[in-house]
Amino acid sequence: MAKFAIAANKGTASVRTIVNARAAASAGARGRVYDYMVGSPASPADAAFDHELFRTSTAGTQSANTPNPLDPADLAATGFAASDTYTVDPSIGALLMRVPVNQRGTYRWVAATGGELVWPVTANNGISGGLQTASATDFSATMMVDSQ
Amino acid sequence: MRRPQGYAVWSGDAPVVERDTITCFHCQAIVHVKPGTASTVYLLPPPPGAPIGAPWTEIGGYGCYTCQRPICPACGEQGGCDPWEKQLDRMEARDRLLRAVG
Repeated sequence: MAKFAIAANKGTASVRTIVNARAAASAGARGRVYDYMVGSPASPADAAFDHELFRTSTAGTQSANTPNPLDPADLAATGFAASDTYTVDPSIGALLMRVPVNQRGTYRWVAATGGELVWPVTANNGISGGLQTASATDFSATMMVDSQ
Repeated sequence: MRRPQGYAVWSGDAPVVERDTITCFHCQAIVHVKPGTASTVYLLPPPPGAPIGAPWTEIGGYGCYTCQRPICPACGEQGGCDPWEKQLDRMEARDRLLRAVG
């Protein structure tokens, strides 16, 4: 297991998903999300958004995002895949967290050991950071994952 | 809070707000905790679409008597004990079976 950073951008498509990490379609591995931070690079505005972390079960229509290992000695990710810039959301499952965040502000959640969010070794099952309602507002997020 | 399972922080648009969180041992939902209550008081966010600065709702915390871990309100109301790691094992076993039978 190694730690990876996924620096993602939602884009301006009217979708919910900002970033997704999921077990690979084949030879997948469990992964643990232990850090998530989100903010908006759009022009500052006072607008309330409900940010969420939720489970997903498909890949959706998106752009691949290469996870970066935090330790340069670690190999590239093989057991999981990451995506951003969605145009069609993945299949959204259980809601894990919902928090209101002003568009001007940022939010960060960090897990202590034992509090990480875990996805199963089932193809394309993963965890996404996104919005409660589809929006064309651009957001950026970084998700830290412990997987292989 | 002793041994919080997570930490959350809001910053940028107002004074920094920090909260401890727990991760439900049954479904892994993240619940924010009222400071100084040792996870006995949970904070639920305002409903979707609420205006900026809308207050959060305080409710009593939940713990599972079987696994002795903090759980979310939904799992607390549902009852029973089905830890997430056991659910993962079942999901993965079913997936292996489906792959094996084609």
